[in-house]
Amino acid sequence: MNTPDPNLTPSPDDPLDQLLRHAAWPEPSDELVARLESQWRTRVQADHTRRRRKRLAGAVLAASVLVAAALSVYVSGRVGNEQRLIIQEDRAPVENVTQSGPRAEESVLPSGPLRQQIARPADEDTGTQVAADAESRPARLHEQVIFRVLEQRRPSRDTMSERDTLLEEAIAALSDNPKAEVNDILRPLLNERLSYEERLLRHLPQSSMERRLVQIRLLERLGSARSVPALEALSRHPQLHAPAIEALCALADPITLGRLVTMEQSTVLRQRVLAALLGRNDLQATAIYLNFVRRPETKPAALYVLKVAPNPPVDALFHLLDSPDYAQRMAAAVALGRLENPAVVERLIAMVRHDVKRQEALVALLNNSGEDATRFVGLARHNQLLIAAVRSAEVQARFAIP
Amino acid sequence: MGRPEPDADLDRLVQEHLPSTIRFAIRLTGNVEAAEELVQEALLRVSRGWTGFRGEARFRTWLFRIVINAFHDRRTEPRRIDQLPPDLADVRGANPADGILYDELNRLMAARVSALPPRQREVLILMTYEQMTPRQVSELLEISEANVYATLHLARQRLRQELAPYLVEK
Repeated sequence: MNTPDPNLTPSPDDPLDQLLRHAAWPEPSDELVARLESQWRTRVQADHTRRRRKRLAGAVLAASVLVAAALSVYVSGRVGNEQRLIIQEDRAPVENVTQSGPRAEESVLPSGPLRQQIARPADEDTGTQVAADAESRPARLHEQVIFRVLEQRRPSRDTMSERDTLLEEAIAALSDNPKAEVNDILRPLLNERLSYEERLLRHLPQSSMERRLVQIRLLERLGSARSVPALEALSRHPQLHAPAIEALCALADPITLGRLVTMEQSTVLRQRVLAALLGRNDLQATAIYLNFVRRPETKPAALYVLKVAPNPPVDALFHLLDSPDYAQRMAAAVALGRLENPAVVERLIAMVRHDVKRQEALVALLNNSGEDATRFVGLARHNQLLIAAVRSAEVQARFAIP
Repeated sequence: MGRPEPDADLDRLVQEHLPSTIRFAIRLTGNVEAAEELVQEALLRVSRGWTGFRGEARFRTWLFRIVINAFHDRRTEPRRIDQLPPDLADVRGANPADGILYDELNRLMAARVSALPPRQREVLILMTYEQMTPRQVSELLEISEANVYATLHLARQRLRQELAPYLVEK
């Protein structure tokens, strides 16, 4: 019969769950809640006002453009229509028409009482009058409005989506100043990572090399597992290899990271990827990392990275002391032993005392050069209950992981 | 829940979930001041990113995701020092639970939870104090359910080891 794992299944009888239930954090004061509510309302009001003003400004601008377009169309259309009407009605030859200039037309102005209304003001020096072209059909009113609006429309912030604009601004900021603080530049984009990631991936294929470098940096912060295939492809390009590897360190799953370690030629980048594996701080990534502790050719690099890791996966390593794979248990023990961490040594000593994975704990202590571990192992060698275990651990420490 | 109307509904939802969000932030950060800053940052992102809320997730889940993202982005959290706190006695000594007051133990417990590695902390708090299921936690944190279970296991195992002297069977 399977007993439930006490570390997965809460139980009212479990002392840990009793403590967890009564854990007491400081309560937020009423002033704090009121302060945050007030800040929120102020921000909402400000956003609301800004959006309303923006809508109003947009509406006023659109209305102005339409009115101006309609007026100009109306005026020019009215003149054209009257000319056509007059020419159709009165086909009598025009008297005293002087034609000169490059734009003079062959058609003539009709005579009659309307002639003065439609004739353009004469050039007093030359006496030239320009006649309207009566042959082409003037555009209808709605067509004229559309043409005028299209002519006057300018590419503006409104024609691009706001997201595209923000993204372009971020790319431009990083291009201008590659050493700028990326977090500050990315702040406006952080709420909609998926959307920006999609845009970046879409634009990557047609971007220049310099632009790709910036896009990769942005993907490193905004991207997800979806970006991994594209980044792997980019990493094959010599100029993009290092930044793509950096981004993959942040985004790739542990199996991919393990593959990258195996394929990586550069010592520095290999260590970087190993560090990324360690930094995941989960069982799968740690187990994959331990494969590199087990191999003689990668063991030194793997242990070096562990030594300088700011936050090594201590819990995962302790958990893997219980692995069904003997080599993995030994690799975990070696890794734990190499950590210069008093709390880890404390735990290992407790495990030896209480006979919890005693062999593995001793292997770990034998790999530790600290004073506490050395003293304890020395005492253990002279302890009748522990001497056999220590000797066995010494053999395993020497041969299990070469 | 379908996508609510902006402004008025957003305001109502934020007001409704603000107290629980603040408590969640206090558990994550371990202190009120940091929690206040975290919630401020989160609310700023809510007001800017409202259009990104698609409505298929509960508002609380979406809001908590923003809080967790802001928590990760702050990077002002002091590096976790992997040592036993001085107020926990030596496990090899006499019964260390003698003399500790009940309230102190409850506060100590809270401090240890807030001092867990970030991912373990998030999973434990969401499942133990926010009553989320593993599936909900996996969706919120964008990790697999198996990872949720493994992380919870590690968190509880760690607490069990660190607080061994205080885990007295009743």
